[in-house]
Amino acid sequence: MKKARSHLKIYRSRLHLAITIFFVVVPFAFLLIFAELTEVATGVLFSDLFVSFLRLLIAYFISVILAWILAVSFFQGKRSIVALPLFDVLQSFPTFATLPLAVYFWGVSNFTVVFFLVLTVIWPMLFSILSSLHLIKQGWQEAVEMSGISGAIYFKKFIFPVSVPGLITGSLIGLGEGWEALIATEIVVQEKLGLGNFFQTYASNPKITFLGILGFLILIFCINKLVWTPLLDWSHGKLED
Amino acid sequence: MDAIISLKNINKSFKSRDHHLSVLADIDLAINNGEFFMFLGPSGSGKSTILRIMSGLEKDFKGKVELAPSIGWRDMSFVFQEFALLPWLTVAENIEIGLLARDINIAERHKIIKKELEIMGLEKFGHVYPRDLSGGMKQRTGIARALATNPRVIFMDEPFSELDSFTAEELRKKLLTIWQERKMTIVMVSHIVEEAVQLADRIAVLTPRPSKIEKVVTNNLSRPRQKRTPEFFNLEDELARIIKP
Repeated sequence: MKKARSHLKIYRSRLHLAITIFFVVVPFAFLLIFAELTEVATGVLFSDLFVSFLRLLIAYFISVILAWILAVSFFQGKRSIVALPLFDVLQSFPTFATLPLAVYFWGVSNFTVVFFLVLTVIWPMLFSILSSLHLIKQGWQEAVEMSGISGAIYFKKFIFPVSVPGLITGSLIGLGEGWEALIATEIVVQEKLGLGNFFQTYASNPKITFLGILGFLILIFCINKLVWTPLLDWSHGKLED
Repeated sequence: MDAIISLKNINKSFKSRDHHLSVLADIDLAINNGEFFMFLGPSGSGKSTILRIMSGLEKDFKGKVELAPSIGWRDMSFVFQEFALLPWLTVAENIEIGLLARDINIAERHKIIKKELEIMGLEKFGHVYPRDLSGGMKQRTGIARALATNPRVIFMDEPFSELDSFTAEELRKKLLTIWQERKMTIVMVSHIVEEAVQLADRIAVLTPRPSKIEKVVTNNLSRPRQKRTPEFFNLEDELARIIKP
């Protein structure tokens, strides 16, 4: 009981708790009502949503790890002189151009969708983390050098905290672009499960399509309000001394 | 006295395509173990550059820095002019950072942090982030961080120049007490003549562009030093005469 209470302390007030519950309940309630209204099987809707969400989540985590490693490896020194212009060119490359090739190699599979999503999500992540790392002040760098920390402690206490604001901003932008790319990819490669399939199936029914888009927006809005806005607030000012 | 750090023929210059600027020229000097050494000079006289070369922060120079065989990087720390606290760490975590590199167990770390917080009058601020501190508190944290690793040498780059005069004076007295108790070597940079006379055993006066050591003055005034005495004023005058802006 005591532990549960201490967990509840993360909510600053009852209103805060109520709003949080509201954001969790609304998307589910909407989906249930939607299924009822449009006579679409609730299970199908939930499983399409779940599969799409899972694909994006996997792609997101792969992108976070890759973008962070790339940013940390190339943000300074001689390597950055070569790498940063190269990243700039690569991110301008239209990723959809690789989609037919990906389908050719790996067929219509989860792997193809996730691969394509990684290509989309990684760039905003990478450039946001890089811009955070470029905020490192000479004084911080020298204080850390004099302290003598190295290896895992160096990353945990210095590099990671500096990259957190970029990680959060990059996640917001990357996931935004990721949702868009996800639906498009699922439609283009004609995956049998997922929101792309859902929208394609009901393309001739404007009511379902419209409600589907509305539900989709509610879900993204709630995720942003529940996860990203608090994280953005938390990270804001972390690097101000 | 035995030298803890020796500078041998240190030269440093900045080069660009059509410009060559000599910053330090032929610096030869030995810092004695346990002394309070001061570099005194006007802006642009290369004081901070010498300190950065001695501490290993600046690696691009000609000449040689020799350390006594008994000391290594673990025995040195640095207090920065603009504090250089890591803003995402609390006061206590900032103090802890050097201890993490020295394989000190958590119980011992907490003991050291508690002690340094008390010494610097920060015991109620361990959990606070630097952005919520005044300039004086920030520099107390900077000094506590430098002291926590129990260094043999502390480099201080104009540590009180960002503070109001009352806080600066209080921290100078505190620093003298700590130096006398712990018997470490302090190498400080300053542009304030009074500060040099009040604190240092020896004062190297630097001339600007290129920076050279004009003279090393030994300060024989007895401690605790009284500021409003003829001897104090005389030494201030002597140093002021040597400094060429």
